Amino acid sequence: MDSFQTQMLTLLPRLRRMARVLAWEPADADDLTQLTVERALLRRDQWRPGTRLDSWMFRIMRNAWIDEARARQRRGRVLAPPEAGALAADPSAPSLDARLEATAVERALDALPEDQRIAVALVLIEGLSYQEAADSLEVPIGTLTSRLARGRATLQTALIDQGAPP
Amino acid sequence: MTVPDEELFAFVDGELPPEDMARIEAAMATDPQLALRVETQRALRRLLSGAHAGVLRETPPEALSTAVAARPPVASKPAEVIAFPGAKGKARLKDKARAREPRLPKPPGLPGRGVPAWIGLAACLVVGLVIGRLAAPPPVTLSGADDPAPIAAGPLVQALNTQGSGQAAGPVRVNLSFKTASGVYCRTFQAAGRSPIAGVACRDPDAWRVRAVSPAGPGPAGDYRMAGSETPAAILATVDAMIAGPPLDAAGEAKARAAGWKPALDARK
Repeated sequence: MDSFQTQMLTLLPRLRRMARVLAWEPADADDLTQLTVERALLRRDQWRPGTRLDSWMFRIMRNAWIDEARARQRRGRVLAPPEAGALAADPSAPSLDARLEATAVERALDALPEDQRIAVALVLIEGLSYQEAADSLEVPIGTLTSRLARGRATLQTALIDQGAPP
Repeated sequence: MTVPDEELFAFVDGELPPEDMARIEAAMATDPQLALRVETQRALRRLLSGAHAGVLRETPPEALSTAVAARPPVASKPAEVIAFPGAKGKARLKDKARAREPRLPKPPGLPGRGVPAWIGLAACLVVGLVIGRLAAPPPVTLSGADDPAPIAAGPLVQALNTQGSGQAAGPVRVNLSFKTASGVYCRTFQAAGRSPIAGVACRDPDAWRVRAVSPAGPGPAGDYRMAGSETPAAILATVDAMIAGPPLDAAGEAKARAAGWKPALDARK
């Protein structure tokens, strides 16, 4: 492994976490992580040394998620198209376990519209700056902050104003 | 004092300029309402930091670690770059490249690796590139250590002078621009053709000189290598050894281009 790969290995836990935010189901999330890693290795020349590898990889992950999940329902269906046999999970197994074990925070986060959810995750969970998060999402910074504000308002209502336990 | 939500959020996220951060910090001391709003947002951040946090403590599945490590670094063998004199940090590069060599078992029955066949090929390509289509008459042979780095000419020099990074026009694509510690501008490029090559050239006082080249595109013996826009890892390693600071962004590039890629004076002090 070279230093690029070593850095990527260090990022794996955070990539898996972000994948959970996007895909929810652990198996789907790991498939998404794997897809992200593979794409990142293929496109490593597009990463500019000296810039953050994490926000670059989050961008790849988000694009991979959009590609894979387009035209599909987010839950109850498999992440991968049928032809990607190795990636596909069992389509007949909508796992309730993950939902039952989830915390109130995770459920509230998951209930957000996707664009708000990703904005919240990048800034409030991953600690990216507004600029880095906007770059990851390929949107203007004003779009990022407005998604963030709407996501926050909903989360505050769900988690704090109603006194739900964490 | 009235603090709009978005400003309050930016305060909690540490995104305000220092003077505004201080202003709100001070206001909180006398405005319990404001202090409560800030505390609510901080509590929300704390809650969110626990979301899916269990996965951080797990060891990632082996399939994922394997995926990260699986593909041998592209063009990472020490010999796969021809570095010309003047490539700063050449010795370092060699060490680095050697350290990066994947420890793969040698397939049995292959002839020992002396000088890889492609070296001759690449030398021809360089001669072809540098002396033929893309460069000036030979100030250069490729046999001795004292050869000066080849001077770029033709489409290559035109691309280096005028093309923005990432734009392809004609046979040459420029991928990345950066500055060395001595303030000299360098750019990585790729030349299309039947045997595409990639390299890095620096703007010396007299001309663009090619500091290193490496084959790009399908390699020998079914080596997996991306065609198209991928810069070989060997060239990236050369860049790593030469670069000072971050690569130029579009604005920095425009500025350098406007100055004719003359060494940046501020970096020379």
